[in-house]
Amino acid sequence: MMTKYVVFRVQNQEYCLSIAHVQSIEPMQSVTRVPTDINYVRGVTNLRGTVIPVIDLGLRLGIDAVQTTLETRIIVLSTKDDAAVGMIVDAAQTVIDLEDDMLQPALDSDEVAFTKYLVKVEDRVLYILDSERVMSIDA
Amino acid sequence: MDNSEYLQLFIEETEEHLQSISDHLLKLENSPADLDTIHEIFRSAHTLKGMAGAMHYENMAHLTHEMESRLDDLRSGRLTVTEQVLDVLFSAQDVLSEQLKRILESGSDDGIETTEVIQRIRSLGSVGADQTTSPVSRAKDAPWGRDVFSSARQAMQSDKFVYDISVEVDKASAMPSVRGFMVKQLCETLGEVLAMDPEDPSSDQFQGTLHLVLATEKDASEVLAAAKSISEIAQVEVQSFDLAPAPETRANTSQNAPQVSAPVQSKSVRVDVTRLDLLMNLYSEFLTDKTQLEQLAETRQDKELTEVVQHLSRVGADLQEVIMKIRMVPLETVFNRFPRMIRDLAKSLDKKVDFSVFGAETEIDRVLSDEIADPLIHILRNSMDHGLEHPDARIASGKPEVGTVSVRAYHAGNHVYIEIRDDGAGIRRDKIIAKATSVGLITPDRAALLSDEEVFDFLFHSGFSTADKVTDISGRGVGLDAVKTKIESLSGSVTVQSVVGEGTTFIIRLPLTVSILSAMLVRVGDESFALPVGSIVHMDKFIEQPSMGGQLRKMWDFRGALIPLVHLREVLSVADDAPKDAFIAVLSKGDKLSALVVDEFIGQYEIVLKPLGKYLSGRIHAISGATILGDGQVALIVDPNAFFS
Repeated sequence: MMTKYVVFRVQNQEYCLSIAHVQSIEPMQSVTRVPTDINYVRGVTNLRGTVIPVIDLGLRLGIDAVQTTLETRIIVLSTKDDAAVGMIVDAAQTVIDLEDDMLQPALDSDEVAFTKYLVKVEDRVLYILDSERVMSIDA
Repeated sequence: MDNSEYLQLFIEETEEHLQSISDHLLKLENSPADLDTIHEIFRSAHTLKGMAGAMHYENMAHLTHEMESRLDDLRSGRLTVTEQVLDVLFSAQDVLSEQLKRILESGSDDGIETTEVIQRIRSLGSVGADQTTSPVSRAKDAPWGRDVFSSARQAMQSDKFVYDISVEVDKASAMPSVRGFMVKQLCETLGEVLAMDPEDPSSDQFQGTLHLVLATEKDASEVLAAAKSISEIAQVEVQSFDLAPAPETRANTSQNAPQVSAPVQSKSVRVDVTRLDLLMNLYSEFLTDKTQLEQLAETRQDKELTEVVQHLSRVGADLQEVIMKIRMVPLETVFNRFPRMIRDLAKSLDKKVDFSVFGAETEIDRVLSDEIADPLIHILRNSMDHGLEHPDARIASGKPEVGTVSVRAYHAGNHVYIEIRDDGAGIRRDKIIAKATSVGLITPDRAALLSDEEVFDFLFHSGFSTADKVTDISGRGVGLDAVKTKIESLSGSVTVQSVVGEGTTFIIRLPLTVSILSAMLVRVGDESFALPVGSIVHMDKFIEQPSMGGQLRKMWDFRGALIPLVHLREVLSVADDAPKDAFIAVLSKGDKLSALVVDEFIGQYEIVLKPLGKYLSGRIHAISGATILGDGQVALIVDPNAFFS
């Protein structure tokens, strides 16, 4: 079966998320800081009249904070309980179709947190993220 | 058939009927001979059966059908209302509620165990009902089993007509059973008889009224003519079989049915709550633009613009009032479930109680009404479990055997008050102090100085329970502290009054609305925060008082009293290299005060509260929500309660 995926970039790695989880992709906009201990929570932002939390995917994946440039995007994901969470990425590039049998389960040895599958497209390797894990809050 | 369009309607109406069944069962418990009440329950069960059948919820239709049969027995006096009957009907209502819940969750009523309750309903039928003397004929609303409905549906799908036929044999007939047999035979030649009541019209018991469901390819006039060709038939009625009997018409055709007054037409419409939320969102955008316009008019100093903006502000204020009113719902929606709950609690605790509700029509913001139910239930359980004494203890202390518990709601000022009162044993101050001392909340010397209210406030401390034994009703550790936290998160408060021997009252105070509030915007560093105006009692320039530094906890001299001093910058960990700390806001909660230091007061605004959502809830200290400012930026709303713990 074919599924559509949004492809986006954090640092030099490309990641994918099934389009089913993605509500919209927004240009970077002003984010209000919230006082919290969770380091990857950037704050909250105004998404057309609704206040949504925004996380820094760079920090979430344990890399570096995303630096704001013209390419920076907020990918808005729908969570299980119908809420929305924004995710800051370095760039959101394309949408691609992937056959389910192209996906290879990620191994522990792949050393990539939050990755569910790997997929090889031409000469690139894309990491397909586990959206539930990305959206979860570590205790 | 796609039922999704009707599902919402089905759910709402089913909820109403289940509530009505519960209310009337409680009423019946007090006046078991009231036929009107029985009839109301019958009507609801009947309507539910029809709706469930139409929506293809076979399990629900089946259960309501069984209920209906027993209710019919009650109505006609074949069965009398006993405690056992009520218990079974209550359980049936519970199962129906479960089914509805399941339908909500999964879209199907499968998987809820009904065999047991149906068995119990059926077993009631044999109690006191003598099968041989019960009338063999029924009214036209003879209850067909669900198998009949499904075979009727199948027949219709294969392009047959299905008729509901009732035949009345002439009373003068010497042998009605022969006529009955002839009707049966005739029908069998016309098509397929799906059901017949009584099952065997050729028996000698047959009294002359036959009711049957026929699937046939003939049309109604042919069936009618054929039936009339039999001699000694007084009356034949052929109607197409109704898969979903309309409640009113069906109920009214039944024998002995008391005339039901036409329902009062209320001039209201049902509105999907998401539309109300949308309206609120739009209004908040309007509010932001309005604020911007006001600022613009102020800087431009344009007379015409100022006038228009002033008018716009007035319209805005009126609009706000209307929107708030639309969002209000009567507390009835919350209180409805209490009588049943109290009844069950009284039974399981073996206590006697007279429960009453006052002011159920009091209106409150819908958001609050959704949230307040759990705390109220908790307090009621507490009153039933710990407040009210057992009947023998009550008699021993010279009180009436039956205790009273009441819930009373009313408006006062900009608040809604809900009081939960019991006439139980009351709370013993010394017991609370002993417990508070033993867990180290207070020293005995200090305790003597506390007011009763302050002592009772210990009840809301986590892990504080004075109940001698833990029951499954309350006293499970998660107790009144959760209640207090919840109510405070709704910007409300809860206090306790109690007199030993006379009873206890919990008083809950809630704002009318939590959606729109007046707030003072303050600046700290580069960040803006909204401070609810309701909790600010005084604003002033901040002058550092030298003697106050260096202590474990900073204090501030306010009109001769020392109150805790807090820097908002520190509480919210605002990064700021050059703090100005220029102003101070004195906040109050009850009679407690606290001083909050900020850099600047920006101004007072009407703001729309936006929840922060589940993702962040409980993870941000001292913040109760957010709002969107005139420039589209989000500002956090400071929770004043955080400065009083």
